[in-house]
Amino acid sequence: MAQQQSDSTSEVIEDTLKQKKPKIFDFKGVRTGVDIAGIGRSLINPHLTLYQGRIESDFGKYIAVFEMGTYSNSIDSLPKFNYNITGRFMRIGADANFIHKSEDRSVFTVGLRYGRSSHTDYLTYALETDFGLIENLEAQNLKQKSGWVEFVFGLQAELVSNIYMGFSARYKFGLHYKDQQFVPFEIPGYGRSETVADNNSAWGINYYITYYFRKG
Amino acid sequence: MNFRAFSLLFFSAVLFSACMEEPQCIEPDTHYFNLSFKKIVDGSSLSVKIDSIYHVEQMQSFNKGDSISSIQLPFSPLHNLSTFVLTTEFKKDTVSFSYDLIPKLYATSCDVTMLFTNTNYETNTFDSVNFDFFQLPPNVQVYY
Repeated sequence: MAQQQSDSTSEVIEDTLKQKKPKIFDFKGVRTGVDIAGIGRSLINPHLTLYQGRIESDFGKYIAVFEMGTYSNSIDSLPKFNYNITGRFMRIGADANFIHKSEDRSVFTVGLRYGRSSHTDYLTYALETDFGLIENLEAQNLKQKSGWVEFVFGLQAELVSNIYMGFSARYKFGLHYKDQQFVPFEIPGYGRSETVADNNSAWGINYYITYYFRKG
Repeated sequence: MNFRAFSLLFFSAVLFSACMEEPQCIEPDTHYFNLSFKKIVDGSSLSVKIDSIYHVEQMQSFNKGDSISSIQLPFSPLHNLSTFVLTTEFKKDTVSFSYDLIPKLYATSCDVTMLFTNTNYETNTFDSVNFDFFQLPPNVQVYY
């Protein structure tokens, strides 16, 4: 009888230890969403289309993220220049969730992304020399590939049942691309290649509406 | 709806949105070079009478009859080569430069700027000259 009591005590201790050991990756569900800022810009500007979506796997403390989108724009500033671009982009990365114990699965995250894009752009422009000559020239970048890294800070709060609204603020840096006929003016997923800081970095922000598919 | 989270969300979004602004239009110091004249004896500045300086690709000439110790001369943004025929009180010389041309647009409010990269001299007939392409703009010092 003493042996049976000892065995059952050991089982209780073992079960308690298993319960208290935290899981590093505790799958909670999947969240999918769209960037509403891009949709808004596309509706306001007839020359611009930006559609971007994301899918997240919620592992409690950590969230794996995949984003992708398409971008096209046309800027007509004749006689100075005319610029057209069409391309696609994707970002992949992970976030740490600092409010992972939140019961409504709202998130406050900090994370990293690696972004890649492929685009084709055209530039026609007027060039005036120091001697007053004006020439009309054109240049084209075919299937330009670009890459960059992002630090991302984000918030998402539940609006109604399983529908969330949030934003991601991005610090983008490490932009790299192959030189082609001209320096790319815009890069899908990254933004303008030239920024105020002029140190190969940029800020960006996205606003998302997402739906959460809970586990179980 | 979590109104506290929403308020923090809205405030943070407005805060980050303030970071967006367009860059300034830039004219980089790469589309011309400094030509200066020096005494071969001690390297001090020398004023030289110029009969003409002729830019072959642009088919333009300037500074006729002036006495100068230095001058700024533009590269042609329409060609990958700029050749100058320099006729001074001493002799007639020719120097040509090669470079890569890359158009760049800084902002929608700007004109397209031409960047000059990998600048180097192709030929020159000077008896004594020093080229410095590490400076922006590049420096060319001719010694008489």
